[in-house]
Amino acid sequence: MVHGAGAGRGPARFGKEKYKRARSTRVLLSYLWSYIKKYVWEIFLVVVISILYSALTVVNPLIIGEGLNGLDVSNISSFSAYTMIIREGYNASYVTDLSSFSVYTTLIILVIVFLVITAIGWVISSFSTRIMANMNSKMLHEVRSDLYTKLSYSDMAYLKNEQSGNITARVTADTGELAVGLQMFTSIVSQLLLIIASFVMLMITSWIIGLMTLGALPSIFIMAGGLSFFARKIVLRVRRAFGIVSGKMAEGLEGIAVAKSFNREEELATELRELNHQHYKYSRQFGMLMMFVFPSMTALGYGVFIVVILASGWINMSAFFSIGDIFKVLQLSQSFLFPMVMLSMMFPQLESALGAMDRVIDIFEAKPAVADVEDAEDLQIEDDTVNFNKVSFAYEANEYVLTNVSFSAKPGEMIAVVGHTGAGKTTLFSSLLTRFYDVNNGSISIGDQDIRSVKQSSLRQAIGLVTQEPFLFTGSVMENILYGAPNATEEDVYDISKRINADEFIEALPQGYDNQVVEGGKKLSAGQRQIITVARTMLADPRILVLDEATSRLDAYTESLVQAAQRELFKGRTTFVIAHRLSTIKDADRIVVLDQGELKELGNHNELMEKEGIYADLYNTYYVHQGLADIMIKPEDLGIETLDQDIQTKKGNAHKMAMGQKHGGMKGKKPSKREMKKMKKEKDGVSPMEQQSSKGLTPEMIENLKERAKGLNPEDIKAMMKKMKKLTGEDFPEELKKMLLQISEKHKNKR
Amino acid sequence: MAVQTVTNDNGMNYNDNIQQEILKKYKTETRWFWSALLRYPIRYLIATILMAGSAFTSAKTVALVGNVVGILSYNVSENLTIFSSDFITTIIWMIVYIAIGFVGSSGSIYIWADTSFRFQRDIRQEFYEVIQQHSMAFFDVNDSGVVLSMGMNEVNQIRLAMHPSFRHLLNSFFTIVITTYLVIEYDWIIGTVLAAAFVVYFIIAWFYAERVGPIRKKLATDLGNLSAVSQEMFKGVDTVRSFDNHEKEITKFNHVSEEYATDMKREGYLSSFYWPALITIIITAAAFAYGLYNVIQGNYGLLGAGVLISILGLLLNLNRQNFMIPAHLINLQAGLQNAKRLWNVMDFNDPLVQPKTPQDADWDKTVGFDNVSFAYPGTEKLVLKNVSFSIPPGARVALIGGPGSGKSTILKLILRLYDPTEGTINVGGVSIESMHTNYVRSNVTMVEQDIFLFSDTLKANITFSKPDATSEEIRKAAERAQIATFIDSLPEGYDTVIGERGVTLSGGQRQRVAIARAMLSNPRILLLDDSTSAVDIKTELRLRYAMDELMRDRTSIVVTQRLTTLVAADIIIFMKRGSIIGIGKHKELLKTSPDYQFMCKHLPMTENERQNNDTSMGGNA
Repeated sequence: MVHGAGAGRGPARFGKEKYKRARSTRVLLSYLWSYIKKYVWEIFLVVVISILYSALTVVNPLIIGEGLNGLDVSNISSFSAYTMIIREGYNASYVTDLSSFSVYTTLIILVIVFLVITAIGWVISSFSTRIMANMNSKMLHEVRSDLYTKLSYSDMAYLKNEQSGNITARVTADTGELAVGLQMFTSIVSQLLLIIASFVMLMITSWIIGLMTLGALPSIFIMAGGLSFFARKIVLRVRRAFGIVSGKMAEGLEGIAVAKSFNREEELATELRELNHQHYKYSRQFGMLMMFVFPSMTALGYGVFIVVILASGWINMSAFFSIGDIFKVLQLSQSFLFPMVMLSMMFPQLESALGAMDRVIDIFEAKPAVADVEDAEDLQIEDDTVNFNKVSFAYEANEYVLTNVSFSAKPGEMIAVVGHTGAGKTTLFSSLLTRFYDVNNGSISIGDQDIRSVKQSSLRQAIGLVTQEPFLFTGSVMENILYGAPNATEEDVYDISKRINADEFIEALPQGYDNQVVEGGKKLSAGQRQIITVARTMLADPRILVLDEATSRLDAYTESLVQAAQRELFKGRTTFVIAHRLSTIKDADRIVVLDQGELKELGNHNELMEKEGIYADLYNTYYVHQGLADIMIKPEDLGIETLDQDIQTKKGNAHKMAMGQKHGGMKGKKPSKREMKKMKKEKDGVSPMEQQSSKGLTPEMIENLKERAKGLNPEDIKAMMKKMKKLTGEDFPEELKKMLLQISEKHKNKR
Repeated sequence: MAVQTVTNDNGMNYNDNIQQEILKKYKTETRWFWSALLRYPIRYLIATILMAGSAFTSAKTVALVGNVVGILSYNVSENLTIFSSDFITTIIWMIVYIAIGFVGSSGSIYIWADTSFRFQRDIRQEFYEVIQQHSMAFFDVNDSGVVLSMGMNEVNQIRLAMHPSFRHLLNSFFTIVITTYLVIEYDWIIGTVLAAAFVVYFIIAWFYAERVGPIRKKLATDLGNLSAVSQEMFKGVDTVRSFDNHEKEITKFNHVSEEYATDMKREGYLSSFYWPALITIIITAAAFAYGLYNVIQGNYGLLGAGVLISILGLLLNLNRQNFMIPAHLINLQAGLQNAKRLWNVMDFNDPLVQPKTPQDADWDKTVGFDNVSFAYPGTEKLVLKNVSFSIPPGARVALIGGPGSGKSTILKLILRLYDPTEGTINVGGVSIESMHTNYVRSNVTMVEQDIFLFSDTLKANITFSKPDATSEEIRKAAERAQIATFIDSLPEGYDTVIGERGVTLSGGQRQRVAIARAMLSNPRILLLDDSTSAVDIKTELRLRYAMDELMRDRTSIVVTQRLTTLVAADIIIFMKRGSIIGIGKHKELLKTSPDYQFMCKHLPMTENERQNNDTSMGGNA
């Protein structure tokens, strides 16, 4: 009964490939000991029972053997009894004579002893099973709970890079395998004991036959060796094929709406059938391998018997060999050989249990980079000033996504954050201010407390974060909104929903506030999900609020409703809004402009417009166009697009994690030089294009220029170009020059 | 996504109405489970015959052990030639039996295993195909992770019940019957008692297994919950952490984990004190006593002790079955339970029914909603109430409204993912309920808000809507979707694998791949759910161009918040709480709809536009 099998929900769990352990078996066992030492009495009991049980198992054939020999009790050897029987021509009266009192007594005693011993064996092995079941289930729970707790508090970097399915597999499948391994340990102990006991009894009964039985060992070892060699390969293949089928089916189910809308069910079914068939073919190979195992063992057992009986005939030992002894030898050699086979078949499983343990220990031993200091205090409640002091941060060594960012937000101030994708907006507020990661240089403080000296829990209670990707938990809408404010009442929920205009749509749901959220809210639209997350955060009533594109998924109408409510909602809170909506930005007290990880501009809308810097650019090219103005940029002018840098970094990260794991788990965080080079190469492959788009003129800038050209005389344009040349040190593209002049001409009349 | 025809042994081909066929063919979950034997009768029959044969020969071998010992003892005690011809003959017979047993049982195991793996493959495929054809009503309420686990793990469980468990049980059965027969030959009293005892044994064992079955099922559910809780937390770790709710999540997890531990313990407890084993123990002891008595009485004749060894050997052999039978009985029970669960899911009573005589429609005619009301299957609340409108061919329709206003539902109804609860949707007067879903969907295409792409090459993703598209067509579609330059910049171009095992695309890129995909399908009616706004100007512009291309020359219905789209629309339908609260052009709505005015007022526009709007609103007021 393999617990924990079939734990994985996603395809990832099944695709697991061969895994190389980082720790020696000894280290793993000593680690295991730390868990099982609590149950030292139980284990002691189980071992004692195992010893008793193997003794009983061995004693049983002895008793039957004695029973057969018991025919000797009447001082006539059993064989001469036969002789007599035959000579007397089945003389019944003689036989009756033979059955003297003592024979029957012995017989009855033997049968009773046999019965009692078997019954005792049954009882104690059942007890042992109970003790094991109790211990195993408790320990599994403990390991799981510890592991889960550890993972919950582990580094964001780790959690973000691993797929949630993989982490879950650590918690369910690996611990399950561990439990199986534990069970196996006790089983191994008892099998070993059985082997030893059988062998000892065998040697006592007849050392010659005992030695002959040893002769069967090489063939068992060869068979077991060959079996595990091929089994490992085939099992891996089967698993991989299973993983692929699972992945395909998962995709088919998740993408069912797409398949339906393009009428492609048939093709998907065909593809699955193909993979499914492949899986079958590998499974068949496995069947082919396993078909010989048990038949061979049976054949081997009888082979040994034939050899034994021939040999005993040959050396004419049978005179010393009573019929009972032959029976004993037979049974003992079986109970000696059979556990051998069982043991050899257990090793692959044991190996995978040790592997699982290795992975589990990896997690236990990892030291979180972000942790409370020893004398961590609660966050004070008087001062909500947020200071960023020369903050620099890199997810990857030396690849800074933020450099030297300094500014401070006054209590109750609303700060809008703008900048291009990859400017570091999300990192600064969603990751650093919340202390999901620690800054590399500089510091962030609230009031006069560095956030690193504050208890994480008190910090996070003070900060409310609405993430870009709305995430909901399984449960009702009501429970979801209550998530961050356990003490709030349902009334509070209704109230807050009304205030952000969410109540209308929630009430429109089939079960209203009691509507169940399935699978992260797949039945809800992204907008519906997002507005619930906004309600959730507002109900938690944080002092400091971070809204990371919190309304980007709302439809125009809802967004306008939320917009209308926001002033009131932000009142009294220090608020950071990462936004792309013009109206939000214009409402802000101050605007922070980030560009490539640096704080470039800071001030309110009017101030920044006057500066004619990055913000003014952004405003003129983008924010303005959220309205109805015509867009002048042609598709071909949009420049070359690349893979998203953020995502690429993350991928590299994940890649490194995987590599690190192979070389000794999470301890080995630094990649080798060779890996670094390789990663660098991968990066270099992308970077020239990136540079191209960041250097020179971006489409936004071009658009901005075009926009400005409408209001300028041709002479002004020429002057501007000169100024540009001075600034950038590069010639102005001739085509653009012409274009701008044309625009200027065209708008001449309007001026 | 190379589409090949797979040579399949039973020639299964894709079937449009596989659900009905399977339900009709197998009727109950039990029959579906046992259908393994009907699907491959010859193979299973051969395996069974081989199994019976090998059970016979191995029992015979055990019995011969006693004979050999008996003969040997006799020869020794009589000072006869030790290797008498009797002895040699018996040994040779033994070797023959061993050889036959070896071949027979290997062969039977292999054939049985192979056939069961075939069965596994077939039911997995069946399950998937049936589930796939369920309408969205099914997928709305069922967690895809759970369904996946059914299709993978539980199908495995069903196979495990067939092979090795049912095979073992069948083998045990043969062994018991044959042993009983052989024992009767030696001693009919022991034999008869044995036969009776085993009947009792099996009955008790089955009841025992039935008790374990539910716990097994519970354990499976527990494990599912455990994964679900854990997975959810790791997916939403930002949220958990930002609310500092770790403790709460850990408590939740511990609760589920404890439940699992309790059930695991219960199962362990049940498997201890497996008291049917006592029956075989008692029988062995009784046979031992009775046999000894008989030997002493000389009832077994010449080879008396040998006979006893044979009988005991056979009995001990049976005793060994004790170790296997309970586990296999439980597996068989579990397999039946799993089959039941799968069957219930396959037996989903779909509210969406294909028409008996599907009709075609003229898609160049008006699409009309006639008093359409809709509640999601299984719920009562109407998410659409008496919605009526008509869309002339080629029109650009924009749908707006808050979350839950019903705009996405309108799209789903046009795609016939659901049927209206009341009222009809028609194309040129033909109700779409009288059309086959495949026909509807070959004329209507939807680009969803949450883009789903397959972890496959870009090419495969784009041609998903038209597998036989030429590379010229693919290029053209990609160009029009503004994604061609990007794809060209990738080292592997259209063969770049995306998703988990490949390159990660940004949201905007995914959207445009989906647009290229929709472009290739060249629908008559385009449904576009575009309610998110891009965060970046370049992304925004590319998307806008791509969508303009996609909407060209066809009827389009777009859920949007882009003002440009609203202004350009021929018809704007403004939804609120499942009803239409405004319908008309931008300018008209500005005059007639206060909600629309409110929305426009709060949306960003150039100063110029704002003034325009203000004046038009003012003019109205």
